[in-house]
This record gives sequence, C-alpha cells and structure tokens, in this order.
Amino acid sequence: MESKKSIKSRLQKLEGLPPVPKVVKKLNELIQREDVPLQKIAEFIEKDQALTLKLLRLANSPLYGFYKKITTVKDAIFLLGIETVRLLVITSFMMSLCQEVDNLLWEHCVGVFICVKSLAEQVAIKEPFVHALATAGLLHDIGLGIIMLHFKDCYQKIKSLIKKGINPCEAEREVLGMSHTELGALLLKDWGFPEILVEVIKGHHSPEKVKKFKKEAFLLHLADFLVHARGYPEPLFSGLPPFEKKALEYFKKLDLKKILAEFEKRFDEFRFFLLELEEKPSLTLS
Amino acid sequence: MQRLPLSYIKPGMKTFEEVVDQNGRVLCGKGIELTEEHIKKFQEFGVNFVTVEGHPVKLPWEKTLEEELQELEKRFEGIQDETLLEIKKVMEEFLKEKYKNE
Repeated sequence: MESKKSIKSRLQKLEGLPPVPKVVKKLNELIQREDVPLQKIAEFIEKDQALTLKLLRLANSPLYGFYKKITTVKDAIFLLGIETVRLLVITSFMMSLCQEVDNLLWEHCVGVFICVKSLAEQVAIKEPFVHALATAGLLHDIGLGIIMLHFKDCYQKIKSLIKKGINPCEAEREVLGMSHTELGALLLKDWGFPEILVEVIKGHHSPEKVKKFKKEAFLLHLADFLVHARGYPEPLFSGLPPFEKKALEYFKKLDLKKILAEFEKRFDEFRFFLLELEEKPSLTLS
Repeated sequence: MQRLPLSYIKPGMKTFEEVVDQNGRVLCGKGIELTEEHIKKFQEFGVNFVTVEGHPVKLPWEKTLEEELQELEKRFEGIQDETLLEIKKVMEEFLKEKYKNE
C-alpha cells in the first residue's frame, strides 16, 4: 500500500496533470483580487487558444441554457459573469479528462450537474450556493477521473478488490491511501476552489461526516444516487452506490417525479449537443 | 411526441404543443403542420427546441419501455430497503408516464 504522502508527491510530480488546472488556479487567484479588471482576465484566458475555443463552444451549448450567441471571452465574462466563465473553463477540462478515460464518467458527471441543480432549486437553496453545487456536481468525481487516467495500475487493483465484494471507497483507500472523494477534495483545494466545493465533494459518499455545508452535501449525495438509479453510473459502482437515507428525511417535500422529468429534458438537450459534436468534427472539442 | 432541436425540424412535421420564444411569446399554435416559413421564423426568434407529434426521428440513445424497465429491475436487484424501493417505484411510474406520451 502506498502512503498518502507518496500519492501526494506522485500527484505533484505528475507531468500529465493537464494544463487547464493551472489556468483554473490562476483564474481563481485573479477572481479573488479585486484590482484586476475583467478585461485582463479575458486576455489571460484568450492566451490559450484551444481553451478559448472549447469555452466558447460550451458557452453556446444547451448545457448552460444561455440564449444569446457568445463569440468572445470578453462577451462571455460580461454577459454570463466571471463565475460562469470559471465554470466553463473547468467544464472543458472535465470533459477532456472524462472522455479520455470513459464516456460513462462524463455522462454521469453531467447527469449529477443537471440533477443537483434541479434539486437545489426545488429546496430553495440560494445563490451563490446553487452555482457552487452545480459546479460540485460536475466535478464530484474528478478524483476518480484522475485515478483512472494517471494511476491505471492502482485502478485495476481497486477494480479487482471491488469484484471481491469490498466497498469501492474502502478499496481505493486500501490501494491508494485515499478515496476518489478525498483525492478530488485535495485537488480542488489546491486549485483554489471555495470551501463549499471542497467539503461537499469530499463528502458525496458520506454526507453524515460533513460538518459545514451538510445540507448541500446531502443534496449532492442524493443527486449522485438518483443519477445512478436512473442508469448513468460512474464506472466504479456496478450496482447502486451506498445511500444514506437521511438525505430524503432532510428534504421531505421533494417532488422526485418532477425532478426526474426536468432531468430527462435537460439530459436529452445535452445528448443532442454531444451528437452534434460527433457529426461535425470541425467543432470537436478535444 | 418528440422534443427535437430546431435543426431536426422539417416541413410537414406537426406541432404537439405551442411553440414559444424566450419571452414566452407564442410563435405557432398546437397541431399545426410546419412549413419552411415557420422554421425560418423559429430561427429568427431564437427557438432551440420544438415538440412535434409522433416520433419522426430515431435517436441512438433511445430505448423501449421494456428495456428501460428491465434495466431498472437489474439496477435494483437484491435491494430490500423500503426507502430505496420507494425511489424505484417513482422511477417506474415516471418511465411509464414518459412512454405513454410517445
């Protein structure tokens, strides 16, 4: 078994850790500093042409439901806001990462993004937490993506332990010293994401243990479970992931059928978008 | 009925419900056979999706109700917990309603 420390050092040395997180890290810094004009932030993003292209493609996708045509990064920042642009940057990274390892993971993450957003709206969570939860939905399995891509040997061992009947998060801990939830939280903290994201992602399979942002962690846990139950699993769980029933007691008035209908509609829009990408290779994101 | 992106909409398809723009303005009524002019108008007013009668387009991700229900059974195989079975029941009802309209 490798210790947490050695995994951390492996992570830090990773040459393969893609450049987008660096952009995100810098972006997080720039956003926090109030003396940086938005124009400067736009210029910073535009330096990366591939990222700019992806970002604009996603900004005009149905995933976010904006209706005006967005053609420049500056437009995106002024029309959609810097928070959304940050979300677009991280989406483009997550999309490339997931598609490189397993399309199932991408479907799952987008599913949780859509589902947790509807859930948050239905239980009247206020901004900026809805936005934070949606981002968390998209990124919640980033640790798993990193394991699948950069720790392939470990991932195979984890899979064989799961086949023997060991709980997936436990299997990850046994092989890597930490689960994908902990790894994801570690990365996001390092990249400068807000505390709420770090906490709920860390607790998405164990919301009981989350101290701050417990309600939000339960929502993410519920969204993750529902998306599994609807048939869009992350590759780690062959059946359903463990479910803490308190998540439902927490939100008594939830109308699950309404959530499912909204989910289906938005998920179909997303699939049309992906189909369009496949049919028009000139627009391909990767 | 089928909800399709505007690029899939062809003249001759019939609207299943009203077509409205982003501001909620009605651009076309229900049960209308669409023409080139309608489609042009939808483009001008920024309509992204239109719901039409029947099922004119076969999409790669579509499943039959039987397949959906079978897969749902499989995912919940061995589950005894009442809360989880309740969620399964809601999903089953949702799927049946969804396919009833198609």
